[in-house]
Amino acid sequence: MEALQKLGIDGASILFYLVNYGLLFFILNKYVIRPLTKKMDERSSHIRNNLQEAEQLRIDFQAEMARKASEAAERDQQITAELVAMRENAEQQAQRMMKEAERQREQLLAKTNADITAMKDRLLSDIEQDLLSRIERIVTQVLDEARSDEKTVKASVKTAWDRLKSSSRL
Amino acid sequence: MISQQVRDEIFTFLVEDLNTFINTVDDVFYTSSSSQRQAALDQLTEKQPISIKLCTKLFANGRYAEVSMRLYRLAKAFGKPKLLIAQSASALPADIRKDFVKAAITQYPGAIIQLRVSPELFGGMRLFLDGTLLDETWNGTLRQLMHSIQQRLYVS
Repeated sequence: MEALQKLGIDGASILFYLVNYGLLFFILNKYVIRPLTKKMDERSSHIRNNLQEAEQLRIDFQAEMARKASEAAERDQQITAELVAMRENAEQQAQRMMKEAERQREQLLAKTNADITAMKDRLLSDIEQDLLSRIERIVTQVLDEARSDEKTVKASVKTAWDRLKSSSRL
Repeated sequence: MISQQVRDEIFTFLVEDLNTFINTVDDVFYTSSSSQRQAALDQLTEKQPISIKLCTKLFANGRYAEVSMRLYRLAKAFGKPKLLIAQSASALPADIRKDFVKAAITQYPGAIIQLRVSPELFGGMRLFLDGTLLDETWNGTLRQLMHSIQQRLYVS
């Protein structure tokens, strides 16, 4: 003790300091450190919860994104299939229309050909009839002139009779 | 009522004797008087029964065409005569007429002959018998020629 005193250290002061320090530690511990620690724990817990929620949200978002992407891909596939079907349908329609147009063209062509043939036949027939009537008129005129010659007519009657006589019918 | 035998006799006389007579007699017959014609007919029926003599009374007048038609109608009353029409462009000469009548009566027994002059035939002659036509006329030849040309044109 004396040694301590020689060194300038007072035991009572040390005790006082120790009590004082203990009291301070107690007060700080009770009213500052503990509430602060608690608050920090709470804060930490809150942050951890938030982080977990954020992670969960991220996972959900990714899942949602994947689902959306899958749906979009499916929709794209469907649209592509529909487009292909529409294109095929349009091609078939176009082919049908082409065939129909071709058929109508052929029909029209055949009808036109038939009309032309009929017209040609009619023209030919008219020409033939005209030619025949002209020939008939000329021959009739010649015969009419020959008829005025009585001898010729009588000779023709005799010739006709000779022919009839030689036929098996008379 | 006339018996069938008498009817047959009259029919035979009409289609043979009288038919030959009216188609071969001279044209003078048709321009002479009734009494002259009757005398000629009486001469034809000199050896015939009275029924036939009576029939000839119907032929004592009229031109050839009327007489010929009358003969056909009378023959129809006693049988089923055919009608043989000979059309010529000019009147048949007497020799041809006789030849023709003789041949026609032999070839077509029971046929009444009618001779007709048809200038529209231009030349030649033709015969009609029961729907059959034997055509040797210029007109017929012209028709055949026209038909032939038409057929050839049609085929080509």
